Amino acid sequence: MMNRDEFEYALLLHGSDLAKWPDPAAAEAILAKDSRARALLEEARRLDARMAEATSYTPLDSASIGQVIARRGRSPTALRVQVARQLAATALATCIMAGGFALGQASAINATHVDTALIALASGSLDILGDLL
Amino acid sequence: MVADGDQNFPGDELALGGERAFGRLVAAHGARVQALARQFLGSHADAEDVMQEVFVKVWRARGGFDPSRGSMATWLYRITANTCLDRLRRRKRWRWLGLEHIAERADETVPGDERLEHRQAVAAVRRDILDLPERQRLALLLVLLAERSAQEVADIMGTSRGGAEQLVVRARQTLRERQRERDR
Repeated sequence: MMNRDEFEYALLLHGSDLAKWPDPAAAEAILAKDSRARALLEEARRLDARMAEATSYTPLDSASIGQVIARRGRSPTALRVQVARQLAATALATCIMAGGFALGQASAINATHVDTALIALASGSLDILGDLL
Repeated sequence: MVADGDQNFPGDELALGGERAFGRLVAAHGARVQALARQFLGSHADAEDVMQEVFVKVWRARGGFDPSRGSMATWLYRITANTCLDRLRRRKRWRWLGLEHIAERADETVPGDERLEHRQAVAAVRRDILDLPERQRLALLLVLLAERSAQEVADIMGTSRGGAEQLVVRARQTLRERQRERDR
């Protein structure tokens, strides 16, 4: 005979669908006489419904399946390299934009200092750039 | 509990290089693999990467699949679990390097036509799952999404059956406590 603690443990382990329990008859027996067990089952059903919705998904469409099949020969390293290249491209674009902005600021400087400013930007020396500005 | 595509899955056919068998595996488990990665990592973009990476690994390692060590699905989800854990470790390294804005791409996308209260409750559960300790989260998602038994979860995660059961029980216990706090 299943007691309430055992029922509660089984509820946490198997979930609220009694059909998935190894011994649903034992669960039915305690539910018939224990209102606290019924309340626990109701609470678990509510949680399971929310979990099911929170983790819901749609099957892959044929285009996505085809894409996965087509890419099967690529090495995982190649995938990582692709991501790294995208990150590097983003970083480079940011540097170019920052450099352009700095050059725009430097245009007010004496033209003879432009070469020095470019060298300062290339070497990352903010001190030299600060002196020029 | 047996997920679609588990029974009589042609592991031998895949091992011999069968493209059709591979296609069937992707069709049967691709969405589950992606959903598991999304819930585990909290990011749709990462989940797509992980799904692709998992099947690339499956294809490359197909000759090494050993049916005596478990079903094709168990093998697939072991690769999925390891790939998810690797991705999480990589994120932690990025966070340590100060690149958390790249590492943290968590999304909370939910259909827009749901009632607000209901949508909030579901989103809260999604966050609660994401807040679970790694191994509890993985064990729970293997049960919920991959429909693996406690023994299969144990095989996938390299633990005992009792250990896998404990992970699932503790995960559900935490989610139940959070739900009680919200419903008060």
